[in-house]
Amino acid sequence: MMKIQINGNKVEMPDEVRTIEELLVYYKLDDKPVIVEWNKEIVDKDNHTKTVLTEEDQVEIVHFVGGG
Amino acid sequence: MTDRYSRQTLFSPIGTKGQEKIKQSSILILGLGALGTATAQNLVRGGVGKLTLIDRDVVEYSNLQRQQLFMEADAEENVPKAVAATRELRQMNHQVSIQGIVMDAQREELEPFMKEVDLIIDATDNFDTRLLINDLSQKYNVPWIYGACVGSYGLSFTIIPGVTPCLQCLMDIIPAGGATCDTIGIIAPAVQMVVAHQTAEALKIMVDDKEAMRNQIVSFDIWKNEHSSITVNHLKKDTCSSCGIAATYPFLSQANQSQTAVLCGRDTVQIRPSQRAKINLNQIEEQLKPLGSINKNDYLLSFKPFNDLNRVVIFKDGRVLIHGTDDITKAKKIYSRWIG
Ligand SMILES: [Zn+2]
Repeated sequence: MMKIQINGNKVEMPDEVRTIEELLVYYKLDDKPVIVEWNKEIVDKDNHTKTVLTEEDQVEIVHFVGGG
Repeated sequence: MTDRYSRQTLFSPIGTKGQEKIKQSSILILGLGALGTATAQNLVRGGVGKLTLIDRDVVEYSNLQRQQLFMEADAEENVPKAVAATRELRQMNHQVSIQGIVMDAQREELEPFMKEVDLIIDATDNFDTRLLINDLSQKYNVPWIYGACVGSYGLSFTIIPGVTPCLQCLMDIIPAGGATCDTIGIIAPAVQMVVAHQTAEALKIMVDDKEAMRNQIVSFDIWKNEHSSITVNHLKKDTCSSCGIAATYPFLSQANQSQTAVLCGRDTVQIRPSQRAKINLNQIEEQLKPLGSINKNDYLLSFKPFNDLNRVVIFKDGRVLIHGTDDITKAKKIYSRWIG
């Protein structure tokens, strides 16, 4: 179990979540427009599968919605 | 009357000078759902000089839970939102010049406003209109404030042409469908949180307090207690087709404008005929009277067929809302069945 911080909250991740892409799949955001910040740096979409998460990482995820 | 704005002018970043700037400001709010009605109320109470409100829809009972300018009678009588909102807002502050317009705002309708407004507030419920606003904002150098919410989640970002990235720079894909107020609902505090961000940014822009501008995209989930803000300045792309060096404003071209739309939170499809001939509601009333029950006012005719669940609302400008479906093809069939 890896513990990371997501949008300000400490969250325990299941073992299958190892990369940013897998994190987005876990939250069902992988096919949505998102901006992901990983340890204070924005990660380009092209690098989502390459970016491996480690314990205590800080991730911010903003996803776009249309309602109003 | 003289101390009407005293608590706002006592706030030193605004002051009496700022209040005068607010009074000189002209703001356009697009959409009068939950976001639009709440922001409109804040701006009117705060003493904005001129407010233009545009909405294509009518009040329904399901709006009353969160859309704060509407009364039960408005839902009962299907009063257009722009009409109901203007009526309430004028009672709050007669000093503000308020213009409420019932229309489906596309490029040709919106373009004339661009030269007279200082700021656009996004209170729409779809990305089609937002991308249109985004291009108009860049072309005419008018800032706009994106805001959206669904469920207990919301987000906002202020777009200043030439300074910040635009919406296109930030969104790598344009979502089709996705979660809407229709599918997962919406709670009022999520709306109010977005409204607070949008109103605060609008005040900063009006008083020209550049230092205080947020510069970040902000999002929250008020149920899961999450909050996030990301600095996105370096996502501004020189190659962006809306704000880049060789901008072509793709969403201003006719091909990218949809003529049908599923309305958020309503299980309703809007159809906008390509030929915008003035519709004669009296004539339509005569034709449809034997086939169902009809409610008619100065702006629209609402028709509920005897043998069909789908209520049809026909506006004077030719637009038609088909209620009880989110299927565009089915809606088009219903349209041609009753209207031709
Ligand atoms: Zn851009």
